[in-house]
Amino acid sequence: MRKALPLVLAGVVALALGLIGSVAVASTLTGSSSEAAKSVTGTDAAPGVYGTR
Amino acid sequence: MRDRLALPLVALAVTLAVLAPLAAPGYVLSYDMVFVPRQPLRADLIWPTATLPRAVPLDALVSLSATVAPGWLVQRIVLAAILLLAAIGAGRLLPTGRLLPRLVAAVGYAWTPYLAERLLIGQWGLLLAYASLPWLISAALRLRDGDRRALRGVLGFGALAAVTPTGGLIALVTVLILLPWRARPRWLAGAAAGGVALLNAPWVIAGLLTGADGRSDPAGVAAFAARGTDWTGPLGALAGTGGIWNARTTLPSRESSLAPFGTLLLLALAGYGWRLLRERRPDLATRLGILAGAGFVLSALAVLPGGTGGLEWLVAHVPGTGVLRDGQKLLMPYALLLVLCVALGAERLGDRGLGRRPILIGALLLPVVLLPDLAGGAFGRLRPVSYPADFAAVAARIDREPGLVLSLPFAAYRTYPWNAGRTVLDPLPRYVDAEVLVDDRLRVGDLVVRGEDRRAGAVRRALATDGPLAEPLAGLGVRWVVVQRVVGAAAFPAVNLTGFRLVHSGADLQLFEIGSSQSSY
Repeated sequence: MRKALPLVLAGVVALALGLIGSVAVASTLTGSSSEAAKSVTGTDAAPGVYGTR
Repeated sequence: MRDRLALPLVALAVTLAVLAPLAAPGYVLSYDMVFVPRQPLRADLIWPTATLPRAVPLDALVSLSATVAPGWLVQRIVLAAILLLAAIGAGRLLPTGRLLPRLVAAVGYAWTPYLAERLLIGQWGLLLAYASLPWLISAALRLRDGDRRALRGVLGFGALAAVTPTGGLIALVTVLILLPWRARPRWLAGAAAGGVALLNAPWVIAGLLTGADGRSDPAGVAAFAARGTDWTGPLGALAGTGGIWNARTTLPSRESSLAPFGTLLLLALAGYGWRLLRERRPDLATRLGILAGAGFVLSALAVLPGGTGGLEWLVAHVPGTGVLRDGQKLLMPYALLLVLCVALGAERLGDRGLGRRPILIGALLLPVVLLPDLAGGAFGRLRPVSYPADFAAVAARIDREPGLVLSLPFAAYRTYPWNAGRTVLDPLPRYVDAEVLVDDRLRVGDLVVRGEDRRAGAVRRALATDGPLAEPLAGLGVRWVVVQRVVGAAAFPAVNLTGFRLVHSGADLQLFEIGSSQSSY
């Protein structure tokens, strides 16, 4: 059991990281399309806007 | 041999992963990042007399570099240098004898939300300071250890950091805190500190001599305050080294509701590694801790109770303190300390019998997993574009008969259809070899942050009248007017240019010269 502990912990860490990464990538994909849409229709489309908060 | 090459190779891999789109030809034009084919060596770029010296001596150095290399190449060299220096510098600074923890620190420091956000907002001068910081600290530590040759390192990396006022100030405070003031010979610390202080002289002198108002609009404090990206608010975003004011330069992965758990994981690892840092290099731990703490507090000042009011008073009354209004940029020592402690935390965790290699490899990949959308130039957001041919034609025409140029629409930033809808600082002042009048107010959403150029105010008043512009603009010494096609406006914004002669009419730029009776449009 003691010998297997590092492997179990490494597996848990890897799974946790994988989960966080997958959700992050998923949110990236949805975020990107909305970002692209904003670039021509949002407040930033007004001439001269530096950025939005 | 393998160990010696591993760090630079990993740094190279990170650089390629982040800057991959720059293999394509053209220029990356993103917010403050403007490179042009050949930036002229012009007095108002080197020594601005009407605005605050925010890009002193940065613009002068870019202009000088244009005498030996084209702008597209300079841009690639600078951006690659930032990532390579940051990664290798952090890896070398880590007090460990093992390779993997060094690689963890290298990847961690070159893959932070801070770097991503400042890269997207185009503040590459500030990022040179970010990349220099571990090298500067390393040189200062060697001075503490009695190595006099490290003075060259302090001055060299101090110079690299001081290409912008903020970077210069951070470098100066860093050496003041890290230098061995009590060690002999006493002159050594004095020479290092004095040298880095002198490296700040260009922007200090330019600031003293400029005709611009050194005080800033207090509205800028709220506009440029750290911004929360998830349920943990601005403090949570800052703890993860993010929190830039501009939502448009925040990567989508930072806005995920799970991002705070990633930050928490990093903080837990860093907390676990803090003890190793204190044991192995107590002087670095204490001094970098002070720097990081001060930087974090200043970054958060505008969102802390009472901080906004105090900061607003400061920037409105004390010249030069406007540098504090975008406080998140002062987070760089915190980012470095966090990364070093995370790497040592992973090393310590591995030594506890939990499997050194899996833990360290996990920690190595952690920054990439938490911020996957920095890869590929933030998923293509750093894709280069080519300037429309109109720019070269207009620049050549103005070159033949130089005179003051007015750039319209009258705004500091442009969103061009040919730049994939990305916002960028008007490139005209750097493209043409003539002084160009642009609006120096900053629009953040619906908020307008006042500028300091008095001539820009006169142009705004002239534009507000709707009457013919020839007379008031001639009074300001304007000879040329360039009207640019931008997103969100009519094909070309309507301006009363009666009394101007149309000299060049292209799809993206129109050039008018004052002094003709022809009514253009």
